[in-house]
Amino acid sequence: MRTVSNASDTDLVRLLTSGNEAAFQAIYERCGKSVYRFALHMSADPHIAEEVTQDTFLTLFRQPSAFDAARGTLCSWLLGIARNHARRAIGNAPDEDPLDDSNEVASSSDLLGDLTRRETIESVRQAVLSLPPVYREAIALCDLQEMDYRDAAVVLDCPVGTVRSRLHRARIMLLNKLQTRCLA
Amino acid sequence: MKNCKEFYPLIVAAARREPVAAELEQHLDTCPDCCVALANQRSLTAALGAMAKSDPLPPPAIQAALLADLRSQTNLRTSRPSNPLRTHATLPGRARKQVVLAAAAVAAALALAFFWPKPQAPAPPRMAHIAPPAPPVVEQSKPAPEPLRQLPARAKRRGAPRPVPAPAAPEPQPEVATDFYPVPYTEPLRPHQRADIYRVQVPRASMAAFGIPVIGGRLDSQITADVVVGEDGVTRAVRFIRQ
Repeated sequence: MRTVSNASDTDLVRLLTSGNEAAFQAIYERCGKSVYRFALHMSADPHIAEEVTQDTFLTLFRQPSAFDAARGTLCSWLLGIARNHARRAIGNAPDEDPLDDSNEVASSSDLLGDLTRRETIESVRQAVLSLPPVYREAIALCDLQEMDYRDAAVVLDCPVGTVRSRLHRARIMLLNKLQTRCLA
Repeated sequence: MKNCKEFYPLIVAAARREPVAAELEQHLDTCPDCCVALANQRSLTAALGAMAKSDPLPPPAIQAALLADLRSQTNLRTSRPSNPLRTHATLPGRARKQVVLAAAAVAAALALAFFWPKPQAPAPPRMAHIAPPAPPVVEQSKPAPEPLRQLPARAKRRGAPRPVPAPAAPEPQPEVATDFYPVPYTEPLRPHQRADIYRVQVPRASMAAFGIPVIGGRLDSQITADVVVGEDGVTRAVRFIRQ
């Protein structure tokens, strides 16, 4: 027998439209953690993350008909909404990093050892936060949430190739930043 | 033949546990720099994985607040025809925030209307009784000015007002409300659009913005108002309440 928890995204949204609380619980179980964490990765502020999460689900409550299962999963759609809210919340930071436009690969000697010895999770977090938003969101989705390129492309509203190239560039930037910190 | 830079996307892919391309394997056999790059990328993957594992879970309060909001929306939808008025005291946390926003919006709208030149003075407002949602606080009010005559409950939105005998005992007095005044320069609500009514406190001077004479009392003292806020968050109308 099919229960609410394993209902399709479309069915859940339809049930939610009529105020079904079990449908909301199922949607929140399915997507709430991802939305909150994405907002946290983008803002580094738990209060902003809470606000963004609430605003994202309130948007779902008010415009459930805007969800189109043909374009992607419900979580992808919600993350796309969260992305917009998060961008508004953190302001319009430049998408390019003027101090780090080098495309060089950080490959100078044993960063692995440096990372395991000296870099803590917090320093990685700080390095992620220092990325321009377009690269930060690529890292947040593809690496921190282990989302595949196709779903990330739905969230970011861009082609898969763009997601891939942003991610590659983001990882180069991250390594350069971490290397700088290690050598500092 | 590819150079190291061209191999880098494959290195990133390999570090992210995607299948390693055969040409990359061949290149790694002969390129120590790319071996280091792959090792660094793998360490980055591990560090990001550790960071993801250390992420906190969303606080349970978010889900609870959202559930309360869903309930209030559902209740409002089902009870709107019989109970269109709700006060901010009964709203969940999120909705209380909306009340604050609505109050700010109406204050801005009132300020705009106050300073905007008016072609002519509007007609005096009609007043009508509405059922008090709570035991009223008797205000130290002065006699109502002429335009603020009270109407009996059944005379609401009808023609000529009839005088009401003053209550002999200190019984709970009904609230007296003006008609709703549309906020200038806003689009009217469409038939399918939802709206909520929030009860807020606004400066008494706000009444003047709608052409209502403010007689007695300080202009900066507060008066109760019901604010109609559309589902788009735009304030559409306001009425003033005397309790």
